[in-house]
Amino acid sequence: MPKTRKPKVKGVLSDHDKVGKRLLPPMLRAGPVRPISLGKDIIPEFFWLALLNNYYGWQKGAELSLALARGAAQVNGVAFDEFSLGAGPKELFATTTAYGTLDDRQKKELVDDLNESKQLDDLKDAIEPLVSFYPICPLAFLFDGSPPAETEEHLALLKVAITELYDKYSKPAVSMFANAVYIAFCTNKLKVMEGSLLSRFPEIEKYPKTEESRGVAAATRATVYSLLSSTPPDWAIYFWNRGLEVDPCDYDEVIRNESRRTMESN
Amino acid sequence: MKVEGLWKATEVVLGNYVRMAKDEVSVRWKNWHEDLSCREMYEVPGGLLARQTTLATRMALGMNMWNEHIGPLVLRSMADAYITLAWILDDPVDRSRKFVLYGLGQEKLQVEHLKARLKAENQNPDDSSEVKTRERWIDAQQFGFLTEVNIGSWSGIDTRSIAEQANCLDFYNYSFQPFSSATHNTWNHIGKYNLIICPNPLHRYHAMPTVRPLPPSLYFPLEAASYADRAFKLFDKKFPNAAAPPSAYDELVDKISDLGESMMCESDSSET
Repeated sequence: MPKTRKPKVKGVLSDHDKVGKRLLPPMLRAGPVRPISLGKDIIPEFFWLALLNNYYGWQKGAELSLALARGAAQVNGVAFDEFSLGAGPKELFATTTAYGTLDDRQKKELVDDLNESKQLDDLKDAIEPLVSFYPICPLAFLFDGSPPAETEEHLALLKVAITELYDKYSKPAVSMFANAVYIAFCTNKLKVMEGSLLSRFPEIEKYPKTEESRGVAAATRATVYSLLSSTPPDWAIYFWNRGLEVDPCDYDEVIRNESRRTMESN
Repeated sequence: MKVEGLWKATEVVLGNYVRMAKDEVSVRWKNWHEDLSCREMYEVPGGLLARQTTLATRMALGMNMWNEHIGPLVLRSMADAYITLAWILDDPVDRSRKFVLYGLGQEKLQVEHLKARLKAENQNPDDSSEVKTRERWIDAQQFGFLTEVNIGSWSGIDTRSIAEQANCLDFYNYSFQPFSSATHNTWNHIGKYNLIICPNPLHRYHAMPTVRPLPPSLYFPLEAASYADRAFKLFDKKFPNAAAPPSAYDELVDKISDLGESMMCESDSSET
């Protein structure tokens, strides 16, 4: 009678590599990864896109953000007709940080172009809350030395908008990711393989109603993380630390609320 | 039964558990025939059983410990005591001796540190009653000048290997390891129990320190009682004795279940 072999029981984390006393996940086999996080990096860099979508809706938000990004690429030396030839700027003008690389002449040229196309005021209206509370925002040049005033409404809007973006499956978050990827496509900063999920990018407009849109959204989310791999963190650091100045932490109140909740649950 | 009445009834049940658990130790000890040529093999397992029972009964009586802040510290220590007991009972003569000698070495080292501190404070260690008492405790068992100090682990292997050899690796994985986070204050404990997320979205949902009040949970005294019971059962397996005292843990579980049922019945009848 042939012997039957017992199936080998796999131990926990058997897919990990044992290096000394550490167990390394398979994803780290290729080498160390610079961790990009939704909160720490992505929200500060792409928040302006979310504000445009929030103010005008997704379609016009996408149009305006692309207009600004294309304009920035052009003043950076990539002529409009070169986009179709595959030329692209050094920076990804979906990120806030990228606008900090423009010199004064380029900024003036960009503002003039947007003024001429009558898109400047629309852009300013939407991103006013950001620039008002975060005055060294690289997009502040759009206001040409006249920064908008801080208001309670702006502050409330910022809080709501950021809260929504922390849910990476929410429509505001997905539309922000989508606009970033759209800019990357249109400024030749991103190419995709034919047949891949991202090649069906326009389907994302239907998010979250169709299965395909949800698939494209997942691919878009994953792509956004890679778009920031070489973005310096300075703006993101300022953005979050400025948040503590803009609206200081009410530590005592948070603790009081927690105690109250505990008392009520007992 | 009102909440106050329930707590009173629970106190009675727990008091009964404490009495029965202590009896479990004494009945086993009285029915264990010692051979004083190797007294350590009785003293060490007996002491560890008493230690388990001390921790389980203190937990039962100390409602302030029935939470994730303190409960795991006691349970981790109990899990450690159980694994140690299990390993010793596989070779009680040799391993009990090893356990004692390690403990004596630790005491010697601590006394030397104490002496050094006294000297640094310009005091004479020879005048210290604490030093004298502790040295006498060592010398009564083995002269201090003959006592080796082992700065490694007492068994020569780590706790996981002890558990593996004593055939209780599952217990190590499910009981010892999880409670280690609280004992060693690692991030996966303090991140959950000593920090609170600031609700302000502009602050990147940073976490802030909190001395969080936690409601008491019966899980902790029940778990502690189950660890003590596990130790009693292991002891009985290695050293069967005729006395077979009733299980304090089984009685505790029954009585707590009864209380729960009577609570359910009362809430049902008050609703109708």
